[in-house]
Amino acid sequence: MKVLVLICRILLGLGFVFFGCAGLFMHPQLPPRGTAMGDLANIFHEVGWSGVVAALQAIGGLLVLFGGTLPFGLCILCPITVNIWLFHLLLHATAPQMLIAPVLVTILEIVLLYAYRGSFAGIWTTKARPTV
Amino acid sequence: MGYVILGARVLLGLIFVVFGLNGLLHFYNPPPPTGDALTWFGIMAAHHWMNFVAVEQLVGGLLLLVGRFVPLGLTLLAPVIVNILLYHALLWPHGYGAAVLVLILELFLLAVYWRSFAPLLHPNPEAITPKL
Repeated sequence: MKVLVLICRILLGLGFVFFGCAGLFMHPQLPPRGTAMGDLANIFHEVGWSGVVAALQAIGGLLVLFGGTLPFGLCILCPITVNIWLFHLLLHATAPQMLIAPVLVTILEIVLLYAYRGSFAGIWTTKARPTV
Repeated sequence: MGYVILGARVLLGLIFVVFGLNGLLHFYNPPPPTGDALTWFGIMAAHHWMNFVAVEQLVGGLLLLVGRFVPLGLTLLAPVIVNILLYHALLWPHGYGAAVLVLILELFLLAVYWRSFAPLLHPNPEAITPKL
């Protein structure tokens, strides 16, 4: 089990570091304007929104790779994953094989959320009291 | 201090319940943005992305108002607030007063409910989850 968690960690961390660095340093092939997906992708790119997301993906991936910061890394990567799903499902302009990466990432995150559930227990409690 | 915390929680909850309901029912239509921001907003609305955000705002706001699952409510609202701030910082630099207000309320509540979130930054997260 420990080995499985380690493999999930490395796959998820490396995946997001790779995609984040690709988004930051490589010139992307954007779909042309005129479709919903093309307009959205171009606007996101031009104003720098995709740059922010790519940086957060790289940071989140690194936090998952380093020991001790994995739960905080998941806090950054999970909302990004939700938005990746929304992008693919709602704009429904992507081929089915484009969903392989989101499916894989989601499975890895669920395994890690469970394996590190002690770190997230405080969020699920019904009777949280203010500290001060 | 108790009343300040209660006030912040109820105010943030109310703001997002109203914003979330408005995103679903459209009882108040603010003046639309122009240019890329309008194109962006049009796509997000037409493809129901905004409906998802509205439901998330509504659920997060209700959890804060009800007072159970306050940390979960703050967790749901945090990524929404990040994206509202990115929208105003990158696409539409007008009318960001409400965005700054919800950021301050969220940060204040994260701080006073820190006990629930501290395990996320525990230096040895393996130690606080029972062995599988």
